[in-house]
Amino acid sequence: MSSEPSGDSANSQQSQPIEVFLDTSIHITRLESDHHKAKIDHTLEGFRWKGTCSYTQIEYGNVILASACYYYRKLKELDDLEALSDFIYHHLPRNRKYKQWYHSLLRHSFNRDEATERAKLLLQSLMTVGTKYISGYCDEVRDGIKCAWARQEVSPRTPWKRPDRAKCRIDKFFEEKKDTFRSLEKAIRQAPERQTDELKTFADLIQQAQSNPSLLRDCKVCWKLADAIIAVESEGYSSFFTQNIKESDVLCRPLKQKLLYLKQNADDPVEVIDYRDVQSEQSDE
Amino acid sequence: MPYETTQETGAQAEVISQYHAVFRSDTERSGEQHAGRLISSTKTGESDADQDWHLETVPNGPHRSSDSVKATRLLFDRCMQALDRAIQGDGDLIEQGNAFFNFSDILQELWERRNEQESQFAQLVNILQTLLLESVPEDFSKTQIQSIRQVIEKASDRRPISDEDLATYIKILDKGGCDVFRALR
Repeated sequence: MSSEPSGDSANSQQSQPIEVFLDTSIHITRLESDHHKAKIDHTLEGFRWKGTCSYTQIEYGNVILASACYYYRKLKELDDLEALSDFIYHHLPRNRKYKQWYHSLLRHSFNRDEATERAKLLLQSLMTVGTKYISGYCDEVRDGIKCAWARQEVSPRTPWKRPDRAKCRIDKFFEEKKDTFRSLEKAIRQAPERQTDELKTFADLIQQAQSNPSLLRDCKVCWKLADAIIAVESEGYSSFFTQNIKESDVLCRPLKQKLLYLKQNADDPVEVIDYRDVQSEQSDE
Repeated sequence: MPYETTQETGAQAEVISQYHAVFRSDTERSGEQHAGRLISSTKTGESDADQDWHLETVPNGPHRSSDSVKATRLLFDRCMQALDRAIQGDGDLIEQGNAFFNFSDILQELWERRNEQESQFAQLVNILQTLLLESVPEDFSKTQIQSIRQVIEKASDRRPISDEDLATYIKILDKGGCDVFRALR
């Protein structure tokens, strides 16, 4: 494992790949954290082509758009931004899926009524732009699975929710990319010391889907394979940018990618782990 | 119902015109089920939040006079002029600062006109104003200012601003390096 400070050095290195694939964690963190956003944008400046996939849009919707919709409704009910912040801080269970936004800038800059009105508008804007927000800074959004969920529009009247199970082609995508899925399965099985519960689930599901790809058409099953699907969609990209080190550290190997790891602490440099040359050993086995 | 009154006061007439706008919008949107009549929230089973959303997404906004449209366009033009000065005053911090304060004042005038406009207009002005919160002019790069100007130029040509327009503006600002949703945090 080689480690080098990303940011600055990434932009200046001659061997820097020209394209990078963005994982969901990058989209979410870019929206949520000032420091991380600056770091992400700086890292992305070093790449001429940024890609992602529709599955990350689904996950972005599940986290960000679902939160926006929930808070908009809650704000309508409470009709006071201070009360909403109080609710989020003191009453919203920590294990709820909704992100914790406090609208600090608005609360400190305007009187209560105006801050409340502006917060509603901002949440509306977030819902209005929806998953298109991601396509604004990405040059490509791969959509091998054609899941209707990723293209869903959201508003307080139409909350973000899972669509009918038939509206995708995940089974066909699996058939088309069977070799890649199998290489992921093999890499997971070959690295028991790095195997997480999630990785083990990926390997087991990939094995089962080889004889019966249609089982993936059940959204609850497909959902368990999320990071593996994103990894397969990223095939061909020489760099993969993520905050999710445990799974990506294994999945990037068979795909011969350079893993850019954004750490939780925004002061830490982006760690670069290069698997582009490591793979020949595995393929020879 | 106020529709049957023939001698309304100015305030009543304003309320009626807003009712008509919502009514027309509802009829266009809801098809057979709701067409041709106003339905209370209790009858449709919609919550208050749903009703408010209706009001806030009336495509053409509340009743808007041509004077209001002209005034808004004028303010957008003044925004662009201020931003042009900020861009051209490259290196001159005083000129750039003055241009930015001017821009901020004009945005406030636009904000005060939000009730005459569609919701997307209010959303756009809100986004632009929150970009300036707790910032000084020097915080903005030329690319960022240019992206703001580009959005205002596009918005000044759109009557009314649609959801799709707003999504495009947000993407332009984001691509230009503006942190559109930082006020959420």
